[in-house]
Amino acid sequence: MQQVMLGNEAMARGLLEKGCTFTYAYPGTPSSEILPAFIQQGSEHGVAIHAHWSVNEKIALESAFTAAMTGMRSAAIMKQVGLNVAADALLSSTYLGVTGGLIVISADDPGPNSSQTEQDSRMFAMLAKVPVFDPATPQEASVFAGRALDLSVELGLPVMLRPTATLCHARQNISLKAIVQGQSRPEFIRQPQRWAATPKHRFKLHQQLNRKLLELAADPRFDFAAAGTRQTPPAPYGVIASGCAWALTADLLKALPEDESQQFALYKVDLPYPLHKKAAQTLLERHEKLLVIEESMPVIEYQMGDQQKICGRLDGTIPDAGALNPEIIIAALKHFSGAKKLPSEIDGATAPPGKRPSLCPGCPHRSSFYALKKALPKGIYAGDIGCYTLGINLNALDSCLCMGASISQAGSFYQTFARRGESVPPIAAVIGDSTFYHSGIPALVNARWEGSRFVLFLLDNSTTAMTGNQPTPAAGLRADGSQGPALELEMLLKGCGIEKIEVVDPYRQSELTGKLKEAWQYAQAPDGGIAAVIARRGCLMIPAERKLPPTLQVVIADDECTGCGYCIKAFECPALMVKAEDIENRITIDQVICVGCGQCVTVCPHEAIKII
Amino acid sequence: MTDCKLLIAGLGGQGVVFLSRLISQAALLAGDDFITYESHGMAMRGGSVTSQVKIGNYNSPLIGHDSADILLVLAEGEYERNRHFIRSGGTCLVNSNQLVAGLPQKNLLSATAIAVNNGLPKAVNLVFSGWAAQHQAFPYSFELMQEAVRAMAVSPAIETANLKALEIGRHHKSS
Repeated sequence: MQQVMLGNEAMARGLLEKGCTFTYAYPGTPSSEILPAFIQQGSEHGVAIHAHWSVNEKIALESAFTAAMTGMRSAAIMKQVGLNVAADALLSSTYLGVTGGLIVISADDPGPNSSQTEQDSRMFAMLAKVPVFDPATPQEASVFAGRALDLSVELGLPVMLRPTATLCHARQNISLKAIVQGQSRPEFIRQPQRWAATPKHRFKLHQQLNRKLLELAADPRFDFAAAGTRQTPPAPYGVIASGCAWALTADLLKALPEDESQQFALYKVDLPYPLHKKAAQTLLERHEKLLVIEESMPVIEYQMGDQQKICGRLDGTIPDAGALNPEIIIAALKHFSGAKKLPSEIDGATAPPGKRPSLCPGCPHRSSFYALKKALPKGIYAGDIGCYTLGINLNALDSCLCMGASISQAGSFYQTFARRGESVPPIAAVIGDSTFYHSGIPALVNARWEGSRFVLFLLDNSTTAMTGNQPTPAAGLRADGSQGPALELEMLLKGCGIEKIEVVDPYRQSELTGKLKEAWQYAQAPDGGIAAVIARRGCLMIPAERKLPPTLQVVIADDECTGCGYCIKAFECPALMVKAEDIENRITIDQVICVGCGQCVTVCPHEAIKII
Repeated sequence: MTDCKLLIAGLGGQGVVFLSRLISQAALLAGDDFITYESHGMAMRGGSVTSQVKIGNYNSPLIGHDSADILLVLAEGEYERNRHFIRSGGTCLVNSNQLVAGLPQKNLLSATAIAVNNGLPKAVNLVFSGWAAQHQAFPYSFELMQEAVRAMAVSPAIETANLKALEIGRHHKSS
């Protein structure tokens, strides 16, 4: 049987076909669709599964690891920067190993398209000494998810599956196998020396781990030199590739004229770490030169040995940043075979830049940012990760380091000015509800402890919006639709020792502006501290929220609009647009996308925006 | 077996992803292999978005410069950024209410205005594809696109609206 699936759905399918039953994830592009697909397909087939949106990736991995300690087959799913959060658990987990099966799916984002970094999870796997598969297509990702789980059980080690965005969001017809019921009974065998190993035992565990990896590097199942040997005499140039880089290279070689393509022998690496040792040696002997094509860092390349014969990212044949595309690979192949020098500039560099993303029409964040700028002009706005990173378009975001950093940074901005006796500018930490749960809480406990003072501006839209509206602990709704206990943000803030907390609807802009001013005054007062302002209004990507009032009819009075463009610059609502072919550049409202929130009315300095 | 590389460009929220799914649904009905790529995440918030559809025996969904057989542009502003993907002899169809330099009139449709005037402002992509399916370069027939709409509909109401939008596109001449 076949079914059209997204790469992410195919991976979920692969897990279910191999009896994976405990799955934990934190949403993040490009990995977000895996967990929901796992739940949907699992429940459709009546499999007893447990799948949960963990509060962060570290907790997801710790949870999945523990399920695998009891003999279960489990998965921890995240995006590449989520793996950074889970690093502590990952590096330790390989020493301890598992008794069931543990697969870590870490989805990379070369480009980057929706991330802070272009890091390569396979490099992380190397650091953590975790075997890692690199699938090339959605179909293969489904199969490799199963292979990774099987290998994990076989070796008693966590195994990583590393897709990239191109695969996660590729769609194709997938061959399906039967979904199976996983192991039904957990069994925990007490082994404190293993599960709670002290440094002395850790040394032994490390040696055991190394032995397993050495054996794996000699395992004939991963001998990538075995294929492609039929050509005699061998093609002068060997090309080694893995994952989506292999898929693209294979397509491009096929499209070349035969006399050109015959020069190259293409080898596909399924398991980039640990790299099959003998295969590497064989290819170094077989070919004059080797080109390694992989995303996004030189993981295979580093392991190849004799660098004299290797071209790739290290010698500049392939650029050391950015996603691979057909142009880069063709240029690399031609340079490698001596046919053509590398062009000084690749990619459609002459193509005009695209339209930048912006907050949706009616997005409550826009109103929040507008109020923030009004309330604390000349402030420092420490930002965070989510849709509201787009506050940068509104000139209301000064930093974005990583998940939860807004609070640590706001605290540290305060400390650096205050400790040097400087006057402290208004400081606000701007963070969304999901990010706050993810890693804002320890930062807040720390900031209060350190005596930092700032406005904690919590943008509570009751969802994880950027990644597709996954639920947060606030309402207690879980990934599988079941209802858990709710956890109020206010209660959490109080628990962290925050004494001043205000909750405002961001659509009530003047009230919000007032509360933000008040909050900064409190932060400066002798007996003050961190002041929290919660801007609470649901994300409009949730259909039910869109039906709620206000649903106003907003228009621009032609005779009053001066065409100054202030509304677009300061408010940047996609529904505000310059009139086509208007010599005065007057503004009009795109009624198709306007949601009628009426928030732009106060923005116009000429009061030309009206509600009718 | 059809072999076609198709690039769809537009802005987040215009239904670029839906259109690529619709075309791959048609490929499925035709019994063709295909692989597609869709933009997700940050780009979905109104920014420039492309979807790539490769019909035939391919491993990767990515389309290179000078190699797309068809470029479908849902937002006119995206034409300039993506035109270098069209192969020589390839076809470019653009949703535009004005002339586009270098393109014949027959390759332009004012799909947004047509959709709005017909009370289907959210179905620009379907109006556009109903029209695009009339072009010789389009890989599948109008009838197959209809079938694909039916296969993908999540409710009878949506099916009716989408079929209507497709039909409206079919009867419109280029702008």
